[in-house]
Amino acid sequence: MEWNPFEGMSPSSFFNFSFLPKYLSFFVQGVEYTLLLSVVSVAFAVLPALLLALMRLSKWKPVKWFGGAYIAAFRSTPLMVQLYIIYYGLFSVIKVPSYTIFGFIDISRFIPGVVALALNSSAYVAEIIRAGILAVDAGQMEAARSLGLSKVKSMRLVVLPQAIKNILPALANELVTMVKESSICSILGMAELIWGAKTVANTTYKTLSPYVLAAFVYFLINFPASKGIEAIERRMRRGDRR
Amino acid sequence: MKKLIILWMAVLLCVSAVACTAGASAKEKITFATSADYPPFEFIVLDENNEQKYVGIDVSVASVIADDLGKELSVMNMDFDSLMAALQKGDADFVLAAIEKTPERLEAADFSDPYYTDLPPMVLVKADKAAEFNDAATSFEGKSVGAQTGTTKAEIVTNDLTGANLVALTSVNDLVNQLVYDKIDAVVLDGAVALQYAQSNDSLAVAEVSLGEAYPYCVAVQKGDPRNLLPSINATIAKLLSEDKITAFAAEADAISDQAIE
Repeated sequence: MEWNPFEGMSPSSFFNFSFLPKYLSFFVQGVEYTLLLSVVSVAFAVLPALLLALMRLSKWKPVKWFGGAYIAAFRSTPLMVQLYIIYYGLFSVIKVPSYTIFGFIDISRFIPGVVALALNSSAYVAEIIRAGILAVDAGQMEAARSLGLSKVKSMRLVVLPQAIKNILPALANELVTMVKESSICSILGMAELIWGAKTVANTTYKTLSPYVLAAFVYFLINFPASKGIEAIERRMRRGDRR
Repeated sequence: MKKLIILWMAVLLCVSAVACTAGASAKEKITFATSADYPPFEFIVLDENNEQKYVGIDVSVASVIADDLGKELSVMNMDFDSLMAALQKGDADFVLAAIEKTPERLEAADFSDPYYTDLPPMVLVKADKAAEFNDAATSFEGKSVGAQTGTTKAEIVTNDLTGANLVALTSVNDLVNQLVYDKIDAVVLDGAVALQYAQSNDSLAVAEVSLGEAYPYCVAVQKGDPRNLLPSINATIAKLLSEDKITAFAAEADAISDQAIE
């Protein structure tokens, strides 16, 4: 049995994009949904992540243990399972009313999605922040302490501002990862890019090419974004030459 | 640093504010769950304003049911194998998704009178092999046969196709891809769906094998019908059947589906 994906325009070929432009709006809305989902999730993940990172660096054992346990739990289980547990478990207790914002985002699905992605992402961002803090020379903390600053003040005024330089590029990378990871939300009917591709495939009987198009779109978002992050990293390193 | 934090908090506040402005609707809502990946029964198309819209035979029937109950219909779309869970959980009031009444499903839900009987289930295969698969007892020995998870088609593969290995996937679309790219040998589908795929894809055809009679589709409601929907649903179905409306819905859905493929 030989097949050639480039032959003719069979409905199941990889490059049959004849469903465009009629179904373009699925992809446009899908991109908007995907971007909103990932940006909001990472934004909501930052504060809990900072807290978790400080917990892990804490000397107080129960706090340190809790931070470590949370991060371990979320980093060692599949996002898909976390999504199921949060959507069917947590959000069967909390009822989100079905209400549409921006014309196509149903918050009764969007909010559980954001919560699941943010909880998951906060575990990863916490490790980014922790690494960023640890990368600041220990002498900085010692110097601040010997100048009479309290521990909290030394962390807030001396160490964290320097750590941000290490954290920001990695955080942007987390956003790129999240754009891709959020595709898992399609299994619960959140209308993001993969869901759009799936729906077009089902409606038009063109069973593969919508996914190929979605892959192109992900690439077009993430490749320039990673290049941008590299440029920012280079720019931030400029002050490092001593 | 401080400015950054304030800016960041302001953004979060705006997002939460937008999210919380859920308005109250005028008419009481009734929620119907379906799995809109199954033309011509339920699928998603774009209307003239480029808005996404649920259409299909089941959607038409559901909207008449809602009208007769005096409620506004809202659609919940999910995978087929999640439908019964959503119904049991009470997220959905009723389910129409080309569902047949089976003894197993009767333990999880109650069913209305039948509203539509489709063509019998059919086996979709590669066009050049349509004649090879002609007997349920002998042609499927050692073959991989696909069916949708949690459907009666999956049971057909296990019970009726002797020697076949069941490949159960959630989406029909993925099953067809598996068939087209030779990962499996056949797919068992509802007749109307199998014919549509065979018609829209030259490399596919319906096999000669016959899988017995068709079972009628019913509306599923929560076990014990706590919301007392069945009397009204059955009255609606009786009315639709006597007026021969469902045949008209089917013709309409086929036309929309043909248009969607173009």
